[in-house]
Amino acid sequence: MKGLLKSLEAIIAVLIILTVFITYFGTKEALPEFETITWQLKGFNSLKALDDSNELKNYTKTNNTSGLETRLLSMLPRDIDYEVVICDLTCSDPNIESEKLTSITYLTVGGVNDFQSKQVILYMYRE
Amino acid sequence: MSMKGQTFVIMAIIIVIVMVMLKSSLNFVKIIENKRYIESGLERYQFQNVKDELEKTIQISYPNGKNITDNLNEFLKFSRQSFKSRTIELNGLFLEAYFPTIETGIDTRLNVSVLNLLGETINTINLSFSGSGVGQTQTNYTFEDYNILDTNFTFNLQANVYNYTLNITYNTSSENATKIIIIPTEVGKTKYIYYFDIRMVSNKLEQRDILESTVILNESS
Repeated sequence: MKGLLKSLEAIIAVLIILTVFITYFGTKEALPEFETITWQLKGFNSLKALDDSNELKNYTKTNNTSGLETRLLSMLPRDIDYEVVICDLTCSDPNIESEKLTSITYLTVGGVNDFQSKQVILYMYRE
Repeated sequence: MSMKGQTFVIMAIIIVIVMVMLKSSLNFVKIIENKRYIESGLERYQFQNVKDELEKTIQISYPNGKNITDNLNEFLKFSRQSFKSRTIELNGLFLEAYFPTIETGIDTRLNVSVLNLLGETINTINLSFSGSGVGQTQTNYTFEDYNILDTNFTFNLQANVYNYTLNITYNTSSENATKIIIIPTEVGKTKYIYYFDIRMVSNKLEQRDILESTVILNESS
Protein backbone atom coordinates (compact mmCIF):
# COMPACT_ATOMS: atom_id res chain seq x y z
CA MET A 1 0.00 0.00 0.00
CA LYS A 2 2.87 2.37 0.92
CA GLY A 3 4.61 1.68 -2.35
CA LEU A 4 1.43 2.46 -4.27
CA LEU A 5 1.00 5.79 -2.47
CA LYS A 6 4.62 6.74 -3.22
CA SER A 7 4.10 6.01 -6.88
CA LEU A 8 0.89 8.06 -6.90
CA GLU A 9 2.65 11.03 -5.29
CA ALA A 10 5.49 10.78 -7.76
CA ILE A 11 2.97 10.83 -10.65
CA ILE A 12 1.22 13.89 -9.12
CA ALA A 13 4.60 15.67 -8.82
CA VAL A 14 5.46 14.94 -12.47
CA LEU A 15 1.99 16.10 -13.57
CA ILE A 16 2.37 19.41 -11.66
CA ILE A 17 5.73 20.10 -13.32
CA LEU A 18 4.49 19.16 -16.79
CA THR A 19 1.33 21.30 -16.50
CA VAL A 20 3.27 24.38 -15.44
CA PHE A 21 5.96 23.78 -18.07
CA ILE A 22 3.45 23.45 -20.92
CA THR A 23 1.38 26.44 -19.73
CA TYR A 24 4.33 28.78 -19.20
CA PHE A 25 6.82 27.68 -21.82
CA GLY A 26 4.56 26.06 -24.42
CA THR A 27 3.56 29.31 -26.18
CA LYS A 28 6.31 30.49 -28.49
CA GLU A 29 7.22 34.15 -28.00
CA ALA A 30 9.65 35.24 -30.68
CA LEU A 31 12.47 37.44 -29.49
CA PRO A 32 12.72 40.75 -31.42
CA GLU A 33 15.18 40.86 -34.27
CA PHE A 34 18.24 42.94 -33.38
CA GLU A 35 20.76 41.80 -35.93
CA THR A 36 19.25 43.65 -38.90
CA ILE A 37 19.11 46.89 -36.87
CA THR A 38 22.81 46.52 -36.16
CA TRP A 39 23.40 46.09 -39.91
CA GLN A 40 21.38 49.25 -40.59
CA LEU A 41 23.36 51.30 -38.09
CA LYS A 42 26.67 50.02 -39.44
CA GLY A 43 25.57 50.61 -43.04
CA PHE A 44 24.39 54.14 -42.31
CA ASN A 45 27.55 55.07 -40.41
CA SER A 46 29.72 53.66 -43.22
CA LEU A 47 27.98 55.81 -45.84
CA LYS A 48 28.14 58.85 -43.56
CA ALA A 49 31.87 58.33 -43.05
CA LEU A 50 32.36 58.22 -46.83
CA ASP A 51 30.22 61.35 -47.25
CA ASP A 52 32.12 63.22 -44.53
CA SER A 53 35.41 62.40 -46.24
CA ASN A 54 33.98 63.58 -49.61
CA GLU A 55 34.47 60.10 -51.10
CA LEU A 56 30.79 59.29 -51.57
CA LYS A 57 30.25 61.97 -54.24
CA ASN A 58 32.84 60.29 -56.46
CA TYR A 59 30.67 57.19 -56.62
CA THR A 60 27.26 58.91 -56.81
CA LYS A 61 28.40 61.29 -59.57
CA THR A 62 29.12 58.39 -61.94
CA ASN A 63 26.60 55.90 -60.51
CA ASN A 64 29.57 53.70 -59.67
CA THR A 65 27.78 51.10 -57.53
CA SER A 66 30.45 48.40 -57.92
CA GLY A 67 33.17 50.83 -56.81
CA LEU A 68 31.14 51.80 -53.77
CA GLU A 69 30.46 48.15 -52.94
CA THR A 70 34.20 47.42 -53.06
CA ARG A 71 34.88 50.43 -50.82
CA LEU A 72 32.30 49.21 -48.30
CA LEU A 73 33.92 45.77 -48.09
CA SER A 74 36.22 46.79 -45.24
CA MET A 75 33.52 48.79 -43.47
CA LEU A 76 30.65 46.32 -43.19
CA PRO A 77 30.50 43.02 -41.25
CA ARG A 78 32.15 40.14 -43.12
CA ASP A 79 29.26 37.75 -42.61
CA ILE A 80 26.68 39.70 -44.61
CA ASP A 81 26.07 40.24 -48.30
CA TYR A 82 25.08 43.62 -49.61
CA GLU A 83 24.13 45.52 -52.73
CA VAL A 84 24.09 49.25 -53.46
CA VAL A 85 21.57 51.18 -55.56
CA ILE A 86 22.34 54.81 -56.46
CA CYS A 87 19.31 56.67 -57.78
CA ASP A 88 17.29 59.87 -57.95
CA LEU A 89 13.70 59.42 -56.80
CA THR A 90 12.89 56.39 -58.93
CA CYS A 91 15.00 53.49 -57.75
CA SER A 92 15.30 50.02 -59.19
CA ASP A 93 14.54 46.99 -57.05
CA PRO A 94 17.57 44.66 -56.80
CA ASN A 95 15.26 41.59 -56.45
CA ILE A 96 17.18 40.00 -53.62
CA GLU A 97 15.67 36.81 -52.27
CA SER A 98 16.65 36.28 -48.69
CA GLU A 99 14.98 35.46 -45.39
CA LYS A 100 16.98 38.16 -43.63
CA LEU A 101 17.01 41.35 -45.63
CA THR A 102 17.14 45.00 -44.62
CA SER A 103 18.06 48.32 -46.19
CA ILE A 104 18.96 51.88 -45.31
CA THR A 105 18.71 55.03 -47.41
CA TYR A 106 21.31 57.79 -47.29
CA LEU A 107 20.71 61.16 -48.93
CA THR A 108 23.55 63.10 -50.49
CA VAL A 109 23.93 66.36 -52.44
CA GLY A 110 27.22 65.83 -54.26
CA GLY A 111 30.13 68.25 -54.18
CA VAL A 112 31.34 71.73 -55.13
CA ASN A 113 30.14 72.77 -58.62
CA ASP A 114 28.38 69.45 -58.83
CA PHE A 115 25.17 69.72 -56.88
CA GLN A 116 23.04 66.62 -57.37
CA SER A 117 20.47 65.20 -54.97
CA LYS A 118 20.85 61.41 -54.84
CA GLN A 119 19.70 58.48 -52.78
CA VAL A 120 22.12 55.73 -51.88
CA ILE A 121 20.21 52.62 -50.86
CA LEU A 122 22.25 49.92 -49.19
CA TYR A 123 20.58 46.50 -49.12
CA MET A 124 22.06 44.10 -46.58
CA TYR A 125 21.16 40.44 -46.37
CA ARG A 126 22.31 36.94 -45.50
CA GLU A 127 21.84 34.06 -47.92
CA MET B 1 1.41 8.86 4.52
CA SER B 2 5.18 8.61 4.78
CA MET B 3 7.53 11.66 4.66
CA LYS B 4 9.42 10.17 1.72
CA GLY B 5 6.28 10.26 -0.43
CA GLN B 6 5.59 13.94 0.34
CA THR B 7 9.08 15.02 -0.77
CA PHE B 8 8.13 14.32 -4.42
CA VAL B 9 5.30 16.87 -4.24
CA ILE B 10 7.42 19.38 -2.29
CA MET B 11 10.21 19.07 -4.86
CA ALA B 12 7.69 19.54 -7.67
CA ILE B 13 6.39 22.76 -6.06
CA ILE B 14 9.95 24.08 -5.68
CA ILE B 15 10.72 23.30 -9.34
CA VAL B 16 7.48 25.03 -10.41
CA ILE B 17 8.40 28.16 -8.39
CA VAL B 18 11.87 28.24 -10.01
CA MET B 19 10.31 27.88 -13.48
CA VAL B 20 7.85 30.75 -12.85
CA MET B 21 10.67 32.98 -11.56
CA LEU B 22 12.79 32.20 -14.61
CA LYS B 23 9.96 33.04 -16.97
CA SER B 24 9.18 36.31 -15.15
CA SER B 25 12.79 37.41 -15.38
CA LEU B 26 12.54 37.36 -19.20
CA ASN B 27 11.03 40.82 -19.66
CA PHE B 28 9.77 40.83 -23.25
CA VAL B 29 8.22 44.27 -22.93
CA LYS B 30 11.59 45.77 -22.04
CA ILE B 31 13.32 43.95 -24.90
CA ILE B 32 10.75 45.29 -27.38
CA GLU B 33 11.10 48.81 -25.91
CA ASN B 34 14.87 48.58 -26.36
CA LYS B 35 14.38 47.59 -29.99
CA ARG B 36 12.07 50.55 -30.59
CA TYR B 37 14.61 52.87 -28.97
CA ILE B 38 17.39 51.63 -31.25
CA GLU B 39 15.12 51.94 -34.30
CA SER B 40 14.19 55.51 -33.35
CA GLY B 41 17.93 56.19 -33.03
CA LEU B 42 18.27 55.24 -36.69
CA GLU B 43 15.53 57.73 -37.56
CA ARG B 44 17.38 60.42 -35.62
CA TYR B 45 20.39 59.67 -37.82
CA GLN B 46 18.23 60.05 -40.93
CA PHE B 47 16.89 63.40 -39.69
CA GLN B 48 20.46 64.49 -39.00
CA ASN B 49 21.37 63.32 -42.51
CA VAL B 50 18.92 65.87 -43.99
CA LYS B 51 20.19 68.68 -41.73
CA ASP B 52 23.83 67.89 -42.55
CA GLU B 53 23.13 67.85 -46.29
CA LEU B 54 21.27 71.18 -46.04
CA GLU B 55 24.37 72.76 -44.52
CA LYS B 56 26.54 71.04 -47.08
CA THR B 57 24.34 72.42 -49.88
CA ILE B 58 25.07 75.94 -48.63
CA GLN B 59 28.81 75.22 -48.60
CA ILE B 60 28.95 73.71 -52.09
CA SER B 61 26.63 76.30 -53.66
CA TYR B 62 28.68 79.16 -52.17
CA PRO B 63 29.10 82.04 -53.03
CA ASN B 64 26.08 82.49 -55.30
CA GLY B 65 22.99 83.40 -53.22
CA LYS B 66 20.52 82.36 -55.94
CA ASN B 67 22.29 79.02 -56.42
CA ILE B 68 22.06 78.32 -52.71
CA THR B 69 18.32 79.03 -52.66
CA ASP B 70 17.60 76.96 -55.79
CA ASN B 71 19.71 74.02 -54.62
CA LEU B 72 18.27 74.05 -51.11
CA ASN B 73 14.72 74.12 -52.40
CA GLU B 74 15.48 71.26 -54.77
CA PHE B 75 17.11 69.16 -52.05
CA LEU B 76 14.26 69.79 -49.61
CA LYS B 77 11.63 68.67 -52.11
CA PHE B 78 13.79 65.67 -53.01
CA SER B 79 14.24 64.68 -49.34
CA ARG B 80 10.54 64.99 -48.70
CA GLN B 81 9.73 62.63 -51.57
CA SER B 82 12.39 60.18 -50.45
CA PHE B 83 11.05 60.13 -46.88
CA LYS B 84 7.49 59.83 -48.13
CA SER B 85 8.38 56.60 -49.96
CA ARG B 86 9.54 55.29 -46.57
CA THR B 87 6.27 56.41 -44.89
CA ILE B 88 8.04 59.19 -43.01
CA GLU B 89 6.80 62.77 -43.25
CA LEU B 90 9.33 65.54 -43.67
CA ASN B 91 7.71 68.93 -43.30
CA GLY B 92 8.67 72.48 -42.51
CA LEU B 93 8.89 76.12 -43.43
CA PHE B 94 12.09 77.36 -45.01
CA LEU B 95 12.98 81.02 -45.32
CA GLU B 96 16.07 82.27 -47.11
CA ALA B 97 17.20 85.87 -47.67
CA TYR B 98 20.25 87.33 -49.35
CA PHE B 99 21.49 90.69 -50.55
CA PRO B 100 24.34 91.73 -52.88
CA THR B 101 27.36 93.75 -51.77
CA ILE B 102 26.12 96.87 -50.00
CA GLU B 103 27.32 100.40 -50.78
CA THR B 104 26.47 103.30 -48.44
CA GLY B 105 23.60 105.50 -49.62
CA ILE B 106 22.62 103.24 -52.54
CA ASP B 107 19.40 101.23 -52.68
CA THR B 108 20.06 97.52 -52.08
CA ARG B 109 17.62 94.71 -52.71
CA LEU B 110 16.96 92.01 -50.12
CA ASN B 111 15.76 88.88 -51.92
CA VAL B 112 13.51 86.67 -49.84
CA SER B 113 12.35 83.15 -50.65
CA VAL B 114 9.91 81.09 -48.58
CA LEU B 115 9.29 77.41 -49.27
CA ASN B 116 6.12 75.94 -47.81
CA LEU B 117 6.55 72.25 -46.98
CA LEU B 118 4.26 72.29 -43.98
CA GLY B 119 2.03 69.68 -45.56
CA GLU B 120 -0.89 72.11 -45.66
CA THR B 121 -1.91 75.40 -47.22
CA ILE B 122 -0.84 78.61 -45.49
CA ASN B 123 -4.01 80.71 -45.41
CA THR B 124 -2.19 84.01 -44.84
CA ILE B 125 1.51 84.81 -44.79
CA ASN B 126 2.75 88.21 -43.84
CA LEU B 127 6.33 89.36 -44.38
CA SER B 128 7.30 92.63 -42.78
CA PHE B 129 10.71 94.26 -43.27
CA SER B 130 11.55 97.12 -40.92
CA GLY B 131 14.40 99.22 -39.61
CA SER B 132 15.94 102.65 -40.04
CA GLY B 133 13.89 104.47 -42.70
CA VAL B 134 12.23 101.24 -43.88
CA GLY B 135 8.77 99.82 -43.23
CA GLN B 136 7.54 97.46 -45.94
CA THR B 137 4.92 94.74 -45.59
CA GLN B 138 3.71 92.09 -48.00
CA THR B 139 0.76 89.80 -47.46
CA ASN B 140 -0.04 86.70 -49.48
CA TYR B 141 -3.06 84.47 -49.27
CA THR B 142 -3.55 80.76 -50.01
CA PHE B 143 0.10 79.78 -50.17
CA GLU B 144 -0.11 76.12 -51.16
CA ASP B 145 2.07 73.27 -49.90
CA TYR B 146 5.16 72.65 -52.09
CA ASN B 147 5.06 76.24 -53.41
CA ILE B 148 7.78 78.87 -53.25
CA LEU B 149 7.10 82.51 -52.50
CA ASP B 150 9.77 84.81 -53.97
CA THR B 151 9.73 88.47 -53.04
CA ASN B 152 12.08 91.35 -52.26
CA PHE B 153 12.46 94.46 -50.14
CA THR B 154 14.66 97.52 -50.61
CA PHE B 155 16.84 99.26 -48.06
CA ASN B 156 19.36 102.09 -48.15
CA LEU B 157 22.12 101.71 -45.60
CA GLN B 158 23.32 104.99 -44.10
CA ALA B 159 25.65 103.54 -41.45
CA ASN B 160 28.42 100.96 -41.76
CA VAL B 161 26.48 98.28 -39.92
CA TYR B 162 22.77 97.99 -39.18
CA ASN B 163 20.42 95.20 -38.10
CA TYR B 164 17.10 95.27 -39.96
CA THR B 165 14.22 93.04 -38.91
CA LEU B 166 12.27 90.62 -41.06
CA ASN B 167 9.08 89.53 -39.37
CA ILE B 168 7.25 86.50 -40.72
CA THR B 169 3.74 85.64 -39.55
CA TYR B 170 1.63 82.85 -41.01
CA ASN B 171 -1.41 80.80 -40.20
CA THR B 172 -2.65 77.44 -41.39
CA SER B 173 -5.62 75.36 -40.29
CA SER B 174 -3.47 73.87 -37.51
CA GLU B 175 -1.02 76.57 -36.44
CA ASN B 176 -0.34 80.28 -36.10
CA ALA B 177 3.31 81.28 -35.98
CA THR B 178 5.46 84.38 -35.83
CA LYS B 179 9.20 84.58 -36.21
CA ILE B 180 11.50 87.57 -36.10
CA ILE B 181 14.66 87.24 -38.17
CA ILE B 182 17.52 89.71 -37.86
CA ILE B 183 19.03 90.84 -41.17
CA PRO B 184 22.55 91.99 -40.28
CA THR B 185 23.55 94.40 -43.07
CA GLU B 186 27.09 95.66 -43.43
CA VAL B 187 28.75 97.90 -46.00
CA GLY B 188 30.93 95.97 -48.47
CA LYS B 189 29.45 92.56 -47.68
CA THR B 190 27.09 90.09 -49.32
CA LYS B 191 25.21 87.92 -46.86
CA TYR B 192 22.88 84.95 -46.95
CA ILE B 193 20.48 84.46 -44.03
CA TYR B 194 18.41 81.34 -43.48
CA TYR B 195 15.76 80.15 -41.07
CA PHE B 196 14.61 76.53 -41.37
CA ASP B 197 11.85 75.09 -39.20
CA ILE B 198 12.19 71.39 -40.06
CA ARG B 199 10.01 68.53 -38.75
CA MET B 200 10.04 64.78 -39.18
CA VAL B 201 7.12 62.54 -38.21
CA SER B 202 7.10 58.74 -38.35
CA ASN B 203 5.17 56.04 -36.52
CA LYS B 204 8.04 55.80 -34.02
CA LEU B 205 9.21 59.35 -33.52
CA GLU B 206 8.48 63.06 -33.95
CA GLN B 207 11.40 65.43 -34.33
CA ARG B 208 11.60 69.18 -34.88
CA ASP B 209 14.56 71.48 -35.18
CA ILE B 210 15.24 75.11 -36.04
CA LEU B 211 18.30 75.86 -38.13
CA GLU B 212 19.20 79.52 -38.53
CA SER B 213 22.39 81.30 -39.41
CA THR B 214 23.99 84.08 -41.45
CA VAL B 215 26.68 83.30 -44.00
CA ILE B 216 29.00 85.95 -45.46
CA LEU B 217 29.11 85.19 -49.18
CA ASN B 218 31.43 87.95 -50.27
CA GLU B 219 33.24 90.94 -48.88
CA SER B 220 34.98 93.67 -50.80
CA SER B 221 38.47 94.57 -49.57
